Amino acid sequence: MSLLRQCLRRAYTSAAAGPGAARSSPLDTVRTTLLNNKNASASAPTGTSSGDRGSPRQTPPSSPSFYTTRAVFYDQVAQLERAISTANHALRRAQLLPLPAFARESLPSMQTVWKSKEEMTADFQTKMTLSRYRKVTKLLNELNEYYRIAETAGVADISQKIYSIVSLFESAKKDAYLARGKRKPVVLDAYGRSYTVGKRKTSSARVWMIPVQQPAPPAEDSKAKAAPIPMTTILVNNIPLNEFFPLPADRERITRPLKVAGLIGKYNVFAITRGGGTTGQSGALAHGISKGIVAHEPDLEVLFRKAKLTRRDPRMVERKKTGFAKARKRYTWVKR
Amino acid sequence: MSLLSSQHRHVALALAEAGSVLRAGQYRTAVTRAAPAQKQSQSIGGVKRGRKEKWEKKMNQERAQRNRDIPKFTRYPESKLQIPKTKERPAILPEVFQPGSGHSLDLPLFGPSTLTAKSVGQATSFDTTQTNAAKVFGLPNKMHFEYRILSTPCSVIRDVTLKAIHTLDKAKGSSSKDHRIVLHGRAGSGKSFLLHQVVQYAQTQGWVVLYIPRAVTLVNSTNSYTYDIRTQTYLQPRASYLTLDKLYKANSALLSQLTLSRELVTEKLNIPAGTTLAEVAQAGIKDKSFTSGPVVLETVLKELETQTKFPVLVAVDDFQALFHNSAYKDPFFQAIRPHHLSLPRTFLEFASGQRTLANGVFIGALTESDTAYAVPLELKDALNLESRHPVSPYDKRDQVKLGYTEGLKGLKVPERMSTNEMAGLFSVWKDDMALTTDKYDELFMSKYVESDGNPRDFVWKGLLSTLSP
Repeated sequence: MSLLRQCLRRAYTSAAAGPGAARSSPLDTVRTTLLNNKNASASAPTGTSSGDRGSPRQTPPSSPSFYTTRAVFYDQVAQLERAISTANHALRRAQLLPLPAFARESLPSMQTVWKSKEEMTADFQTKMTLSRYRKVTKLLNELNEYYRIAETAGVADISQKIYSIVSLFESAKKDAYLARGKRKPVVLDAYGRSYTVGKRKTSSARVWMIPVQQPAPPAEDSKAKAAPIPMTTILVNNIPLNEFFPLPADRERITRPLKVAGLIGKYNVFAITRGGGTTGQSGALAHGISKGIVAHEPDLEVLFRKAKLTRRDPRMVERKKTGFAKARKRYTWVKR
Repeated sequence: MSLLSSQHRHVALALAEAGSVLRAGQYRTAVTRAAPAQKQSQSIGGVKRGRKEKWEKKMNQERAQRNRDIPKFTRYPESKLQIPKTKERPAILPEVFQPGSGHSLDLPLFGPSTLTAKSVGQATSFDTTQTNAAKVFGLPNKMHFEYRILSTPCSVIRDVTLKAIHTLDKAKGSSSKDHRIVLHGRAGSGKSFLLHQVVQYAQTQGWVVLYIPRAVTLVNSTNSYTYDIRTQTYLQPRASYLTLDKLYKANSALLSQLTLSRELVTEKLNIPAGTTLAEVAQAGIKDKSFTSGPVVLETVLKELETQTKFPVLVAVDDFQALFHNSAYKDPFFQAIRPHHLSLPRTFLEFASGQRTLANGVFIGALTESDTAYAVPLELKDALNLESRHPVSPYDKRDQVKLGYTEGLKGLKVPERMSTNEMAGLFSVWKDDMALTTDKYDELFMSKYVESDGNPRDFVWKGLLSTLSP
């Protein structure tokens, strides 16, 4: 019996039995078939007898697409379409489809990245032209939509099975691609230090921040003095802050992130600044300190974003243009 | 053709005609109207295309700029200019800021009762009698400015204050050869303030005090100088006269109890042995020509060296300036060495132990902020001071000056004031209403961090330089 008929029979029987049937669902068979087709060599169609020219065929070919040029491709596409159909029925049975517009809008995004055309060549055993690729990705996108609904609804049995099919076609670079353009999260090292880089104009500051070690609280001895207030020390290029930045404005710019967070005295800062001048270096240091604070206290990220402290100041020196004395300054206008 | 009905077409045509008539009418009236307010430039002889517009634009820009320079408020009515009044902040100055309000800080007096371990971090004020060393001898420049803006001269008791005073107490009764101390530390860490506190303490304890707040004035050629064949040094008559005068004013009570052991005979003076040092000093001061100044000062100092009745404190601020070649020039236009000038030589000899006080202490304080008279290599070697740049053994060191650094002991003023002490300093300025904000703890913490615990930076570049609300 053909595989398709087998699958259809199973689909009917499972539908009759109900959603709680304890047998392998059609989606499982789809998955195994897809894997088998992928691994099977595109040769040796079964059922042909060798040597007998005129004798009738003994066994029918394994799949209906045997006589097509691209058997594996059409098989895989058929399996995907079957998977979509099964998933659709399953979701309808679970009363998740048809989904009203407001619910569909509120679904969380589960963006996926499909394999490239070259990678899919191996899966489909044919050269993937753009039109074939688009056909496949259209089917996969529809399947992904069903996965999205199932995952959000929490029907684990359906969503897991759909995912097992969808994951076959997901690119290995999916995480890297989805994380592109986003800031790399800062990790604290073994000693609890954060390492961040801040930039302003042409200056850069490499900033290490470590929490100030609180001294052990004194025992109930009345003779012991009260513990001193923990204080932040900022060293820039191994020089204390007040010696490296003599201007009060530069100093205030540097301590502003700590003031906004209310964390003066909590962290010690060591920084290496390079490039630019005093204002650029102080701005770069402030930027680095802001990023360091966010690394230590992730809850403050939204606050710092609102205060524009984690924003890299994009202002740079404007270039000189021809016909102008400087970037904007025009030459003296002469009447005659 | 038009999709309008015949009736609408008629109306449209009529309107079009009316419009053209109207436009024609406007044109006619424009010519007869008066000239517009904006002056139009005229071109004579032809101007390049576009120049006329550029010129007009430029003229308009200049007119706008000229008007912008005049402040807007000159055009406001007076009612708009009144400061808004609120209940919390009335538009009048508080009484305390009015002149003659007599506001002053209410602080305990500096003395043995306030120099205890418990009072570390407590600000104390100094007495304002006429014989106070600060009033008589004066103060270093930066301290003078600070006391000018503070309502009461005061300073904070620190750990290092107690340490210095303890050293002074231990040295009482012994020779100054064993107690020659130099205060050193980072710029702005409080060396001059500490020296001033020591001087004030010595005065309260009945010491004879000779305090030189600005030793740089002895070497920067601001005082007259004259060569003396007898001593083979350059005398500084005016400086000696003033020093003698101040020494007398600050210690007249104690000096009147000491007597001259040998008679003093000069061209102008003939003072027998047994006269009180106060009278000797007065005799020197009476001669307004300054000529007796150096001789009398030398006599008085010699007498103070030998006596043991009262301990003597010789305190010199800007001590490192005495190790620099002076700004004076000899007849060959060479810079005069400091040990060839009378007053600097005196202090160098006290510092090096070549002259000793039988009962007394010599304390000097360095000034790191003066770039013209920086701390020399010889002093850095003697006191083992830290250097920002590596010091080479091949750098030349003056052997004579090295000789004058022999036996000097350094007392390091800590780089950072502790948070306790800084809190005391903060409360001084807070109570004197110098702060722009009422968020005291945030201001204190942020300014402490910004100044890295340096007291001068904390006050001058921190509290007094900020406009934070």
